[in-house]
Amino acid sequence: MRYSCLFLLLPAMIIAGCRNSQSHSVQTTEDSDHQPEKLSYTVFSDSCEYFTEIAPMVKGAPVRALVHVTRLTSYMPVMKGSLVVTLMENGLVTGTVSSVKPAVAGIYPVTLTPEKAGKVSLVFTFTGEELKDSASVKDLTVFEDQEAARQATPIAEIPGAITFTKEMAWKVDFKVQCIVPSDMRNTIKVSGELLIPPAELTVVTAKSSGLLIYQKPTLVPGARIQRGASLFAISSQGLTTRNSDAAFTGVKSRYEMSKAAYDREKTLVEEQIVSRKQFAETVSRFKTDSAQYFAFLNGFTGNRIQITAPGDGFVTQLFQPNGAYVEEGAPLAELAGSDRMLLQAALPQRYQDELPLIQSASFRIPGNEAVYETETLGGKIIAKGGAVTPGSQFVPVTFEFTNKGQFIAGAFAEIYLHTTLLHNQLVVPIAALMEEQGTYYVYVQAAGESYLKKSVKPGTFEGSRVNILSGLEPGDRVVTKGAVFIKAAAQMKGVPSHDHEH
Amino acid sequence: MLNRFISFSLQNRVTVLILAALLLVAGILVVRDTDVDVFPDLTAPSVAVMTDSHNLASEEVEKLVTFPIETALNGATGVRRVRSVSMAGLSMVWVDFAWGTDVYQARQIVNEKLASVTERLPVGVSAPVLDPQSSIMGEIMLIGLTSDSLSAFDLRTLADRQVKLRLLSVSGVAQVLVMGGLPKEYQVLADPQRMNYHHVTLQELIETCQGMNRNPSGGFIQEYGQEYVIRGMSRTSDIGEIGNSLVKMNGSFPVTIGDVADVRTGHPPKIGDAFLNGKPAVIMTILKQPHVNTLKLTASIDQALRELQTTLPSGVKINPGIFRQADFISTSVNNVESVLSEGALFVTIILFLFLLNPRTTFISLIAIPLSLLVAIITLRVLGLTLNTMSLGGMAIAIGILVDDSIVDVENVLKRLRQNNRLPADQKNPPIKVIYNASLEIRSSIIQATLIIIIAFAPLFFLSGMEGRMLRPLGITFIVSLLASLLVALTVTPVLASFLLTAPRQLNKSERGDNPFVQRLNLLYEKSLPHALRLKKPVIGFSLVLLLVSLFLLSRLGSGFLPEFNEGTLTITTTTFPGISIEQSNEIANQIDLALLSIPEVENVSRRTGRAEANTHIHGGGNGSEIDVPYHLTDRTRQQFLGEVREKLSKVQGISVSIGQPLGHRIDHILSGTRAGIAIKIFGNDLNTLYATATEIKNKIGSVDGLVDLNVEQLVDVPQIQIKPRRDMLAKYGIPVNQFNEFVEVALGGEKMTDVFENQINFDLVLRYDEPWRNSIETLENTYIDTYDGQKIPLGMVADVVSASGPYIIQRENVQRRIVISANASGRDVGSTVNDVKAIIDREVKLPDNYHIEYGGQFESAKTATRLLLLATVLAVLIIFLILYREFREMKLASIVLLNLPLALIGGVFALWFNSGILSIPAIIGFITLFGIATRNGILLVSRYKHLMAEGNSVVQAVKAGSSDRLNPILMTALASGLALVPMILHADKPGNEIQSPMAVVILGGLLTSTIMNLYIIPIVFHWIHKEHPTSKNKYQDQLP
Repeated sequence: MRYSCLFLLLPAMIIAGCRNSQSHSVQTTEDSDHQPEKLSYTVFSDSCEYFTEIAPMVKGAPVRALVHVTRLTSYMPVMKGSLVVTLMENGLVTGTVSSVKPAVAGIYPVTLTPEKAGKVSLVFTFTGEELKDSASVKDLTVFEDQEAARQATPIAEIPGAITFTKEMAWKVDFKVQCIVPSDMRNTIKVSGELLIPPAELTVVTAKSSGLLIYQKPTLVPGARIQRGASLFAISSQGLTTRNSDAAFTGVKSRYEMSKAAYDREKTLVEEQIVSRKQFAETVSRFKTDSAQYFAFLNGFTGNRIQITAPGDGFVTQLFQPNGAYVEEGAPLAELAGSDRMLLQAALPQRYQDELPLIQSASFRIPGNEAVYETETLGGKIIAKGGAVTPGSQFVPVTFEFTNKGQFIAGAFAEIYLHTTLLHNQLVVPIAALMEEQGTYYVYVQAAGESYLKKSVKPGTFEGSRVNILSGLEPGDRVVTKGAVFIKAAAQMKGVPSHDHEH
Repeated sequence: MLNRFISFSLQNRVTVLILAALLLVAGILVVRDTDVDVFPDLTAPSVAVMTDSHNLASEEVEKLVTFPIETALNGATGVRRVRSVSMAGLSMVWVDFAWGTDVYQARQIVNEKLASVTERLPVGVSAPVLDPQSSIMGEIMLIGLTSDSLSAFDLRTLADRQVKLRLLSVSGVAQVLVMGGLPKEYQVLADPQRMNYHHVTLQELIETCQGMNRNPSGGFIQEYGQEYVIRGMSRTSDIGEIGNSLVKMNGSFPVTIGDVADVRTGHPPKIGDAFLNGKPAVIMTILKQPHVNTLKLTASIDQALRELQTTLPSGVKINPGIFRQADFISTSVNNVESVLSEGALFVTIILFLFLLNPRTTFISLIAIPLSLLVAIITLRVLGLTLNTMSLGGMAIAIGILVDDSIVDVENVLKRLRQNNRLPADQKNPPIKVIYNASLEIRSSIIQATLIIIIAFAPLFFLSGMEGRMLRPLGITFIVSLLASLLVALTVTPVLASFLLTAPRQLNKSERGDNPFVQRLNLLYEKSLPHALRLKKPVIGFSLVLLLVSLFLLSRLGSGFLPEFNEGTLTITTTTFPGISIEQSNEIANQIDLALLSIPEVENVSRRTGRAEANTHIHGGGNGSEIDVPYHLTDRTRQQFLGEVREKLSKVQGISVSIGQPLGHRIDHILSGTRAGIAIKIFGNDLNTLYATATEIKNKIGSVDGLVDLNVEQLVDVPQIQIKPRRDMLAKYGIPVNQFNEFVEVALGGEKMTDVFENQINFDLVLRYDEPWRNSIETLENTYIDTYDGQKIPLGMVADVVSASGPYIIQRENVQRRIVISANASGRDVGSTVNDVKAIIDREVKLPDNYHIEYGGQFESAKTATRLLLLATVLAVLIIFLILYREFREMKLASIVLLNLPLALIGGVFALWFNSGILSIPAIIGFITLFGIATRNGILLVSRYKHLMAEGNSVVQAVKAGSSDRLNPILMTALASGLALVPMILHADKPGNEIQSPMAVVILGGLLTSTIMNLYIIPIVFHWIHKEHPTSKNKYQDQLP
């Protein structure tokens, strides 16, 4: 049976979004000599699609129609329930028929007998266990007699319409979605590393030369430490030269001497016994000596110099083993101070156009399914590299966020860079997109069983979605699952037999 | 010399009987031991050359691999046709040799030719291999493996490593092809990001993987008086262990495989899949070696499967009933056998009715077993099997076999009676009477048999598949006929001498025929004079009938061999090439479901895509082959097929061709395509070929009776081309061969080593993990190593382009071709094709250098018909010569030949009301009919001649002679004819399809020729001799 010539696609379909849109098409039957060509009507409610083929209606003549009811969310036939089809004229009911049981799953046969000629509406009212729904096709013509019906049938073929039957669509993994503008952003998948901000890294150095003594057996890389906690001690006990003990004694006696000189001269200067210049010298010497003394005294117990943590954080590296002789100023340990962390992504150069738009990132650490968003981690982008990292051919993009202990510095990360949000985009699932030698297209439902191949220009990809820059209109019903079946139907043009009554 | 046969037999009566008994016993022994098959061995001597053209695209395979092989093989000794298919990574060349070429010799020739080609093949292409020596006709069984507990991996492994090996060990199994499930392999899925992080290059990973899994040998040491072999045990199948293998040191940190890759078990990309009743299954195709008895092999396979079933894990089910050629063989052979025995029963009844004498009936009937057993022994000696064709030959012959004996017994009995009536002193000894009586009819039975044999001879002129198919039928027919002649000359007189000579017997039998036969005689005797008076109307009426039948004959359709009813459908489907196998499965699954909803269908097994190393290509992932055994209950086959076609037509996006397992494979052999009608277009440009084919398809689509119309989907399929930018490669220090290796290993995946699990080896394949190669965009972003171990996006050094290229290139006789295939349904093939040709000639203009060839069954039918007609003309001439030699008069010989048009009338009418198709078997039926019909004429004319020689007038001779001969003519004709009735009644039963048109023609023709022969011949004889009253003396002179 040949079919699928579409003659009317109401603009209302677009205006009303996807609600109650309807379309009519002409169905030719094999024995068109005897019967007028069937017209097909498709109307959508929020939850269902009603598709029916019906011969032009003539006053007083019963006409049989098969109504295909499809649940839009699943694109499956509505199996149970009853369908009432009402003919309305100017808001008045002129005839009602109902079909309690579908003939085949999803196909409800009804026989209508219009009583008056003129324009009518066809109202579908469906009542099922989980579903109450209705939709109507407007402006159907009921003809005076058969002759008028034959003459009035307009035929205008839509070139290239592909027929894909409801029955087939129900059986395979198939879905049609109404495209409404929505927000999306571009996502670029890259790799990168988690780093500690260089400014947050502190190196603890030896205050004096001597033997290094670990103050905690738990002092290992990764160990958490509190501010002021004792990390190391430097002892000079037993050292013949550079004995810190001897040095301390010298510093202490110098301090005590200059303190005594200061105390004495403080009263004398008021009495102008000591010149102000001399007192200033004494004060200066006292300050220097006390500074030296207190520097020593701080952390110096017994014959050891204690080295404490300058702030909260954790140990990232230890440079010297326990018991080593360290020179004054030698680095002992690297401490990571705060909970700030950097995510440094390596962006391939080809995405440089996107660079200014990059706003946030999500990332995951291999071996861990969880995906983290920099924004929810209190992060922000802090640098978009202006230069390619030497030796790696990638552009660094750096985010900073708060690490609550779940991330390890130096870890490798899979990163999805997100650009700024684009508003009012026509977004389709990638599964809807078909490709042929670099050009993309989608299938759009033109009428119940008619589909059109539309060339589109895809924009940016976000996960499983892509925005369409051109080729689609809001309200288009795009095949988002099973587009390949339509391609197969188009390529293998075996004309399907279209007899729905088995 | 033949007289001596008779005299020797009568002199050594006991010896003859013992010899006959021995023959019976020997024959029965041979029957029990003879191989049974459905058809004669149709295996065309064909050799398939398969070349694994690793990673080459189809055009390159064609250019670099297929072409050199084809040119080397084309023109080799005895090569009939060279066909080829070039597809990505695989070249297949089929070399069809002339029929009758020894397969081993053919393989030898191919091997020799290949030796010169192998070294010219590109690097990386493996040496061509010959397909295991089994043709697709040898696909004798499909078995299904399903499990509700095992994973697809385990099920496939079980099939590959256990079931397949066990089946291959059954003697006679040539090959077992496994499809479905998931073949297991070990995979190292490298993550280039992690590789980058750990500074590991692909080359380092390749080296690690290649050297990782082998057990080194450490020689041996001798200690404690023993010799210890030293082995390193590095081989492992533990995924964790494999992951722990060191790749390199990064400073002081070891980097292992597990650090940069996921190690897991998985499956290679699917090229084929299998389903049983819509559910995933493993389907195994068992191919037998040539000349192996299918029934016995099937029994051993069944035994092996039963044994296997006990060792398989619980929940694994072997379904051996998906497709079994053996079932079709048994059914069809049983059917033919029952037709044969029913025919024998009919013959017995007829003989008894006419003879009304158990003894004469017995003597006549004994010819049947003796002749048939001789035929079977001959088959055995010739190395042929017992099949529906040879059994069919017997079924057709069975009514004719008794003829010679009947004629002999009749005459012997008559002479014995006459002798018995003589006064005692004039009585001859019975043996002498029998000898003379036998001698009397000797010449006419020899002539008659000779004529039938000559009439049958054209069958042996058939060549090709139809020749191979029908030859055994001819052999059994002729051999059994000759044997029956011999029996009539030896055993029959001997038995007559034992059973018919007792005076009591002779007196009793004088009481004559039964009332029915007597009435027939009376009727005939009364009606003949009327007919003689009404010469002109009778002859005129006959002429009108003849003209009508000639007209009908011209309107009969033509066909090749009637379609078999195999009880299984083989449905081939295609959707567009380039579709992924999952989607293809989903569409084809709709076909499964549609078929399962038909009540007659027993099960539905589908194989989509292709098995590894299979020459029976269903196309790529877009093609499926579905086997559907069915059991008819209430509906006819036509109704059932109607529903099948109707339901399948509802599945969109797929084109369907419905065939049967053997028919489908016979079509493969005939034309290399699957359907009955193949329109082949030859030319150079694939797109032009496809466009032309599509144009033709659209134009001929409306031809009445043309179904399953398909154009080979030679359309381009999508490709992703990764084109290196050499300047950029140079900039980053990447040599082109490293780039090539990257594409092969990282994207394609390469086998690195074997992993053994309990003696079973699995491939270990290295490849990038899927997210790094699964889309065009990710291909641009995937990483390639630079010279200093850095990784850069592939897009920086290469263009990744979506393009398209031919998926499959088919060639025949070194030319590209496309095939438009179709079947005829509800109409004969011949006229359907004529319509198609007319449309193509009228409406399609081929581009220059393109041409069309028509192939398929109808082409074979045309050549065969032409050949048969020529041979028939020759045969008729020879028959005429024999008749002339017998009667020594052109007129008499011509009168006898009058039977030919008389027989034609009935044959044509019968055919018209039956199938309306003049197929090859029907033509052979006509030829046979001519032989049998001529015999009736001989009987009459020779009797007239004899009577006139004795001095009777023309009228007396005609009347008495016709009356004399009525009984034997009716008896032989009825025996020959009714023996065929069971065959016609069971025409649609499997096994009878080919012989039944023959039976229809013979029965119809016998009916008219017998009845009309009884009136027309006397009339014509009378007519001719009335005008020449002197002829009486002429015959008197000729009296011996």
